[in-house]
Amino acid sequence: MKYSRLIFALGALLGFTLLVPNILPQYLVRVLIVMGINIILVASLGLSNGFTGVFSLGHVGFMALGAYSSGILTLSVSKKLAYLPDLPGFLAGYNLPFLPATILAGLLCAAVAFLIGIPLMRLSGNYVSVATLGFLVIVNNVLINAETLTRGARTFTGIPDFTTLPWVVAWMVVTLVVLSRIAYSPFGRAMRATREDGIAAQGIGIQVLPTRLIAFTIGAFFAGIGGALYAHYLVSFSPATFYIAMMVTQLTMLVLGGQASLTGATLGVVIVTVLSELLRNLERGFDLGFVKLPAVFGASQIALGLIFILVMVFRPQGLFGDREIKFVESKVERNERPVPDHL
Amino acid sequence: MHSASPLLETNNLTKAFKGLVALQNHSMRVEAGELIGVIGPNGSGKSTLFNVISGFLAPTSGSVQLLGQEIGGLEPAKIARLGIARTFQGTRLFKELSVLENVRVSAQLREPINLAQALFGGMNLQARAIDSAALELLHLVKLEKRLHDKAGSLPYGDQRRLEIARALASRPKLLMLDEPAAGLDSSETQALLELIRLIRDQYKVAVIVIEHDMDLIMNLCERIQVLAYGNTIGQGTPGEVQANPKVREAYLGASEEAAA
Repeated sequence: MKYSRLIFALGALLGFTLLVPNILPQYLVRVLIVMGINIILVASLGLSNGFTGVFSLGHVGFMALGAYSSGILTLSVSKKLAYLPDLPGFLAGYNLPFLPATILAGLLCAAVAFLIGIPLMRLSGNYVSVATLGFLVIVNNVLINAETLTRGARTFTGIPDFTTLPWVVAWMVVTLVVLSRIAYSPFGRAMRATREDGIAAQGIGIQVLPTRLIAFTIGAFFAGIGGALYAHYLVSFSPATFYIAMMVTQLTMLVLGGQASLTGATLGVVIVTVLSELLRNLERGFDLGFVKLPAVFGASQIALGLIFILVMVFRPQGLFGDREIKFVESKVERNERPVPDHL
Repeated sequence: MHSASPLLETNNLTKAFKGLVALQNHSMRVEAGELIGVIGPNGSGKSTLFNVISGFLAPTSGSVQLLGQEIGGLEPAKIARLGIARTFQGTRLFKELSVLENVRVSAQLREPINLAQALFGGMNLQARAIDSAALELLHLVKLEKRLHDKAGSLPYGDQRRLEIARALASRPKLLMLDEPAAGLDSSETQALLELIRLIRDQYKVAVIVIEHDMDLIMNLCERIQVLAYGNTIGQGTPGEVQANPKVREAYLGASEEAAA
């Protein structure tokens, strides 16, 4: 089976993470949780931005919708009374466990993406980017103003802290397996064709709008899942949590790793996370025994910025471009089978 | 006598852009497996004709029928699915994709799968059918040694042949080639002529060629239609067309333009 190795590797990873919280310090576990959530978000962003060429700036908007909807769905009834007293009856009276709330959050985002995608996916190039940015702005404003549902600009709090490392890794495995199966199926091939040349794609029977819509909708589903996981990790947040700064971080991770590569998206997240954690610890100053470096606050951000510039100068396609490590890509893609000799 | 509908039939087909009539009262009939040439000076409406037939432009009036079914104004992707494939002036390849992927993405049109198959497996049969169709065509256009090269990295002549293979991979009934010989030298043009004949014979596909290269058109095509300023000014066998005084006049009158 094409994917058995991938599934085995990710399964082993999942088993390992069940042990990790008992071994690793709390700080590292928290870094790994955020990194896993970011892999879900950035890999799913790559499906539209990299594979399909719809450079969306609205991914964080779906993440916000996922975070708030899962938060509202799981909040205990007594906390709903305290924090969201004006909640409509059908939401106020009960609460859901983690898994169904997460899935519902993802489905809600997929439904929204499908509806707004019908007009937006007709746009191309910079136009679709600006339009999806408009979506992010609208979501932000709706969250601030829908006070009965979200407490407005105030902190939304009291959300149960369900998100653990095994949950995150399990969802990450599901995300990467689903995305790789789609990206390296005929659907993914059609997505890449519409990215390369929409007119030529139509000429061989590919309908551009539905192809883009599928990519955008699936991407939004996983953005909703990632948002829900993040909500139950943070426990309290506000609409400002899910805005431009977060969008820029995710885009940076994706572009750095390689937009049309799941490996690239994953490693983009890992590299940015590891670097920023390392640099952040370094800038506090450290003692090498013989020499003592003073704290230089802000240096980590400058160093990160420089690294991004260097990568874009020397590898504008990102570290991986459109390449994958072997077990992510199906055998059919890099087919080395000899050409039948009867031809 | 003609109980069966022809493969392609246009009737009084007209396309106007804000008053400029690019194609006027065009009528043509193409039977299965025919080799048809469309010639005419620049701006005579040849490419407009292709764009209307393949759905990239909607006709202003008149009809286009494929096997008796009206296709005028349908989306390009629908028309491709019904069996008309085309190439574009100056090629439009998926440049960042490999040679093999360029052909597979077209071959998969006839091997549809659904999302559930993509997610849970069960598309092996289709994948194999897509691969063997793609490899066969890449052999035919002599690109079997460059399967994994990016399409954009191929020399110009190879890109042309790849585009033909890609069009053919959707298993069309009608193949439309828009200036396939432009930019090719005479030996490459000769090879192209043989390739088009081979394609017609082997795949039983009708071919319409737009071309400025008169040698290619006269040697290749069984029937030729001549357009000038959107009007059809002559048609017939290569001999008949060459003898037609109106055609001579149009070409002599526009010779400077055509040479440029």
